[in-house]
Amino acid sequence: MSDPSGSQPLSTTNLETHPLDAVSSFERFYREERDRLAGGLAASLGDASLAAEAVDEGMVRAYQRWAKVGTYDNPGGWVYRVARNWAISRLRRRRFVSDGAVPELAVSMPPAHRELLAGLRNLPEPQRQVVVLKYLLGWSQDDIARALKIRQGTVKSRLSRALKQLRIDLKEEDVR
Amino acid sequence: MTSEEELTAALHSFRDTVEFPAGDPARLAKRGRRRQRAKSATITGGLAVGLVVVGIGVALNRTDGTTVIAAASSVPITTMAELDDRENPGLASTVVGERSAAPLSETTTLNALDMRQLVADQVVAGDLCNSGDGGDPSDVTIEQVQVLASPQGVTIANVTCAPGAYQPTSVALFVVDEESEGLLPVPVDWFDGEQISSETFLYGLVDLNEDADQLSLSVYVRYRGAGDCGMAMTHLWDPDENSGFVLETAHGVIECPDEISPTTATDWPQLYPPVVDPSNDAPTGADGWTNLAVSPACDAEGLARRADDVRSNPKVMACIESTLLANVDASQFWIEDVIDDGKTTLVVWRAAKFDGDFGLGTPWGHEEIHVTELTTWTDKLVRRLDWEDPVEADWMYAYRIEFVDSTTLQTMIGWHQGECYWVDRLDLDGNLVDDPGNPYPRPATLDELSADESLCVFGIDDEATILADRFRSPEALSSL
Repeated sequence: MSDPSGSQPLSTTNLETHPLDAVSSFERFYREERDRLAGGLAASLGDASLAAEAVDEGMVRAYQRWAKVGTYDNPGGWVYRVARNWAISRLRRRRFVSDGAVPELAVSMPPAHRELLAGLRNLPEPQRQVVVLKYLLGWSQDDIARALKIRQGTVKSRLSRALKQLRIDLKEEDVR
Repeated sequence: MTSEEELTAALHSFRDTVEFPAGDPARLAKRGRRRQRAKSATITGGLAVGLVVVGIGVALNRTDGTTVIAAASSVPITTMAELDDRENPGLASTVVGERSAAPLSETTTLNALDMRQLVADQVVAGDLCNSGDGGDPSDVTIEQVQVLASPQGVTIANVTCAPGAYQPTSVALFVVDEESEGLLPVPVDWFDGEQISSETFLYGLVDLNEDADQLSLSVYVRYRGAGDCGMAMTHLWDPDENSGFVLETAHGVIECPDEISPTTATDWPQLYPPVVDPSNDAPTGADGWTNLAVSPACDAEGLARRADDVRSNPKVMACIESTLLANVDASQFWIEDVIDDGKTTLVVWRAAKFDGDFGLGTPWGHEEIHVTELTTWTDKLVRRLDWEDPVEADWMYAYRIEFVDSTTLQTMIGWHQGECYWVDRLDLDGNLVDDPGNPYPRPATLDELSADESLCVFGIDDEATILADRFRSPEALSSL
């Protein structure tokens, strides 16, 4: 399977026998992946600070199990899923305070891009997620399926439905 | 028009403009080590030994090799005070009710232990409870944790929380995520009388049950003290997704009659699935139309027969969906278009039962296009598309279906995972209708195409053109 992070899989042997190597490899992984994963999660959830907090939480858990997680083809996928679950849990708790609204994307960007992202925000979260993982993080469908523990067919259908809905939404926007 | 490149650029633009707080791996590593120390201290502190002893003490051995810990569900096994002196001593937890019908193997016991440990870990993180409407999370206490290891290999923790005065007790279910070794909330279908939503916090009496064949859940909630209204639901674990409980039945009284009622949940009428008499299904006629069995409630109200209601009224949708899927194992179901020319007729797309796993981790099945006439509740299969292989060109997918008129359908079919399309017109028997003006005909070489070839009649960016040229506008569709 391709490794979207571009980093080489880590050697289990090295991790077990050279703890300092493990620490440095985790730190390298963290520096390469943290903002990237947080960016993906932020685009999916619409909340940058929650995304960063969630990815940090995922990174803590990855650190605790780095001897195992570090050997995965795509440890970023593992961290992403842990972070997403953690963030969703947080959002669910917020729902009782803020009626579950996903926070606005409070960033400055070109109008066309803002329009596209507004359409993206209107998609159901599962569809939005696979779009972000594919088009922002550049993961393969196999990577996405493994990271989210869903079938490849589900990834395909979610992508297909998402693109279809985006086009319909944006077409309507153009007409107005 | 939305191209994949534009989407990619927009997402990167978003990411480039977002600033995240600076990360600090050393600080995170410290957090990780602190948690690891706490976990190790607990595991080696005698908890495991204590549990195993208690478990064996009350076990009843079955002749089939399984073991039931009969009385343990109501007997506190141990307190976990040693876990509560860590990061958040205010969240005192008591773990009770360990029971298992699975073989009492070391693995099962340790799974349960791991689950308890994970619960304890996340008690500290405050992740497991709903603090209620505006409640303070620090007021929340975990009242009870029940761990159930099912014969199907699913280990579930049932966490009951008390969120403080004047807040209803919430219950949440969690499974161990093997990969992350963390707890994942279990979604449960919640039926409100009209629609099913997926919830992770439940209210009322929630009971997990297991037998040799399945893992089930019952939820019983009275809407108010008078007891004159409420809902009783039963659920089954979804063995395909292996990640949640799917609604099996719901009995209830939605509108509170405002009088104390002697009725119990067993007297409440069945609301889900709508009561349908399958014997009403007539054999398929010569023209391919089949009579559908419809629930008396839907039929009597004529709910589903008003075209203007089809897409907007949840009750109508529930009637249509429950009727059309009453005897069908369909995994996805979409109403694509509605036409009303004196009779209300739907065209429906559904992915029918998957027949097996052909590799690549994905089972393949087939999809069907149906028309359903609501005035007479009759249904007809128009076309069936088989998904033979996901990497071959004949893996096709109907992306847009609509009525041209009451006897002709127009379909946009995609292949190559949605990168190419063609347009067909069909009569209601599935036969191709001559359409000489169609600029997007079915490619003659389709049967020879493979995923390795990039040959497409037109690409994904042309979809909007196709929609505009050949199909009614999205506005027209959404106004239906």
